[in-house]
Amino acid sequence: MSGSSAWGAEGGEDAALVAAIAAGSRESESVFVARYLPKVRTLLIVRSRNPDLALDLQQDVMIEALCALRKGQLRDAERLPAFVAGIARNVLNSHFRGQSRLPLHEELPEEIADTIEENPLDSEAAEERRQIAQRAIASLNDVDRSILQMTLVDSLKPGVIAERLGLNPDVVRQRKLRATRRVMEIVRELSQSGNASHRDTGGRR
Amino acid sequence: MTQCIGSPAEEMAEQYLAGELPEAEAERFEEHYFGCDLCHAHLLALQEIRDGLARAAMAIAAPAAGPARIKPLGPRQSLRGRILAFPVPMAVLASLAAALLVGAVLVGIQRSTPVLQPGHRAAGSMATAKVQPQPVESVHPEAKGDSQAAVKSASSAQLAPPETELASLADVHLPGYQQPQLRGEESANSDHAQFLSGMQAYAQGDCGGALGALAQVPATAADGLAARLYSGLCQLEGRELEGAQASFTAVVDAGDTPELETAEYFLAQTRLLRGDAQGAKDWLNRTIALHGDYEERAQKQAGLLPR
Repeated sequence: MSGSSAWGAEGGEDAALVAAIAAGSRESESVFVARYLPKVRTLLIVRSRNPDLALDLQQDVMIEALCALRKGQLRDAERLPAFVAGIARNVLNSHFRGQSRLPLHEELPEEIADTIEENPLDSEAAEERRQIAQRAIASLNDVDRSILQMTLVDSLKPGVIAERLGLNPDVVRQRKLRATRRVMEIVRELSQSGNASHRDTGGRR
Repeated sequence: MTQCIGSPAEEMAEQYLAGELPEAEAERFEEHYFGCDLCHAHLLALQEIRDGLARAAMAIAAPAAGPARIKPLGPRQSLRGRILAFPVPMAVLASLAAALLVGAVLVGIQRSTPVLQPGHRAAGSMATAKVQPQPVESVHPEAKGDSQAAVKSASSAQLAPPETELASLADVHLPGYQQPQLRGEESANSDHAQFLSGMQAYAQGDCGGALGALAQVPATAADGLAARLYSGLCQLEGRELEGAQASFTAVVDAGDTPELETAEYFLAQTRLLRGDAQGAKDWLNRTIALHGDYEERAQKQAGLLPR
């Protein structure tokens, strides 16, 4: 079962997009890339823990996905998110196995290739996100910041953090929860005030 | 479009980023956020926070041997540690802000305390009313927006606070109480019913009624310790300082319990009301060492006590 349907996402827009790409619409291909490239990049970064590799592989993912869509290989258009995510995982796995999955004979329209090749880590939006995150982090007191650092960066469990900080594990859990909510709330507020809405991240219109 | 309100990311983003989700769950989450801009934004934000924390990682000091509350970290020591833990600009900012700190502390203490009922009086004003009548502006400088009054008040407290001024520093805002919403079976015994009855009265600001009901809860009952804590709070509200102190001490003596921090903090308040600066400071330091919900308030209050 698709996670999308389980959590309430709708696929009406995707159905139209899939049909348009299969019909040869280059404009729809651009929409597809704008919508899915950021998510493909996120998946690749999280799974590979290597942003440079993610930047290298994201183009392969988009090419493979577009090739399949052009050929009408996706029968259930509502499964488009799962389909693209699956290709991203497969491309990454193939990379680690030393296998190439690239359909080298396929070409992308120039404007799409440019979009993919642009280094997003240098983009204005990424810089804005970095600055917002810094401001959110700066709002934390030392203990909360230590707890988040040990949780998110060092992947330590509350019990271990509690031991290291000389705290009660329940206090650590509570503070971690509150600190996470606080920073996310600040990020949300700053993002909204900076006109960087949620919808910008995925390019979905 | 998505109807999602972001809860999948709230539930899973942290584990996903850490690579701790089982593969099937990770794939399911990926398939969701590929179709959900809200969850993807949440994920990106958390990823950015993690990267930001990693870029400017703090050195985290291991605690001294033994439980933290046996070797409490004093507020002054804590402040120094805090300044040193940041790069120079933070230290510079801290020193520039020092002149405003005392006023801010007073304002902070008055404002940050949860109130049981809207009608409950402020800590300083309660103490003042019972111990020493004072002009309103010296207790609530922020009410007039007069920061000079706050600084003046704090300065006089630090130089040589008489007993009554110590009492005016006491925070006797009673903490709120919310009935825990537990899944599964709820204890249906009479002790629990007495406790709930007492807490209902407490939540309505009826400390007399609360004391009567809570006194019926045996110390050995599941709610016994909580009953003792809230009894102490009600005694504090009624200025039965001996009784309040005995109740809080009983809670503290029970060891590392969820009620410990509150009991220690309010033991400090009973000491303040009795004019015992050193006793208050000791209990505030123990509260601070627990690094819990009362840490910030205790630090601010400890900073106002005579050295």
